[in-house]
Amino acid sequence: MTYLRPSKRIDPSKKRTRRVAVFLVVVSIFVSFIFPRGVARMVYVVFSPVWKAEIGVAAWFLEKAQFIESKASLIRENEAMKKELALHEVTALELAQIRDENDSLKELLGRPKEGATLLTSVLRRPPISPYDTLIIDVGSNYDVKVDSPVFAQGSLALGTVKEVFSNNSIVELFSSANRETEVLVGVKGVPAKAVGLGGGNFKIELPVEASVVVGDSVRMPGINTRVIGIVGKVEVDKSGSVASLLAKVPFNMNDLSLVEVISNSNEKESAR
Amino acid sequence: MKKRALANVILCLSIFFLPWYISCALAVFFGCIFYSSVELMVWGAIADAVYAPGNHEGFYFGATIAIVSMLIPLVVSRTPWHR
Repeated sequence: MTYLRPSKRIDPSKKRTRRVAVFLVVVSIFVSFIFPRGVARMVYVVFSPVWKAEIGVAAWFLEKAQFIESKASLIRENEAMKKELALHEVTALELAQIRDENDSLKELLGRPKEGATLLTSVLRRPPISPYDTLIIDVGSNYDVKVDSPVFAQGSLALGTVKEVFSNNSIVELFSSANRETEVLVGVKGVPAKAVGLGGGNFKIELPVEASVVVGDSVRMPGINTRVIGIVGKVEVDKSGSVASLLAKVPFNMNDLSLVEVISNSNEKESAR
Repeated sequence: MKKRALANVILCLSIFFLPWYISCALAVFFGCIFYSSVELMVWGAIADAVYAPGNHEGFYFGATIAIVSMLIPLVVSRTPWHR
């Protein structure tokens, strides 16, 4: 008996699918390995205006949403915030005086002032960004340089500028996965290495004798006090000699809308 | 074809406007629906380039999803209860 052999011709639609698949593989290798900055530049040109508009629209909606809240709840919230503000006003005055005194002493001792501080808005932040990076809306147009330190709320060290584009920059947070940062821990200022775990978290290993407790600050070495985290948990290993500290950034990432970039700073070396 | 185009639009919007874990969940979902979604490698590579140039984890993730989603029907078609 003879049988009809199946045709050896490849279906044209399958051929086309294979070609498209090969093309996409080549494009993805090109984008990821060969030309990543070019793709980022194109994306920022297209999406930066949209992101900025999104921030404005979200703020408008949040403002209008307050009309839906009951008057009683707004009055209660207002009173609570006034009390909290009164508590912090005195502390803020004291801090301002101490800061001025600190700056005067540094000037007397011949320490140069920090470089110019540039206030910038955050376009994208974690968890939208998967790498613990921020996209800010200033770049080489405002003379931002790679490795410039980035801060929030005056004294919170966030990270350093990793990439600079014409109108945007990417800031790599100190808590980025596997990023190592030299820090001082606790009241005694014990030197250590903080390893980023992502999501605003760090891991630090110290001898138990360092006597670090929950709530101690983790800060950058240097003459200017820059906090990068607060110790949240202390775990001692089975041998009882090494303490593993888990520290977290002392702010809510979702509330991070404005940051400060310092250009021409003397702190660039310690921030790496 | 229209479904895949819609999936690509949704992935594009999710990478640039939604948290990364939602984008990952969508990538896995679309990877399982459209068996040969090599597009996922492109989106992973774009996410790498936008948020951390020099990092390749998004690309490898997209490639893994694409390969796994292509292998699933291959394996299923050879199981006894499928025949």
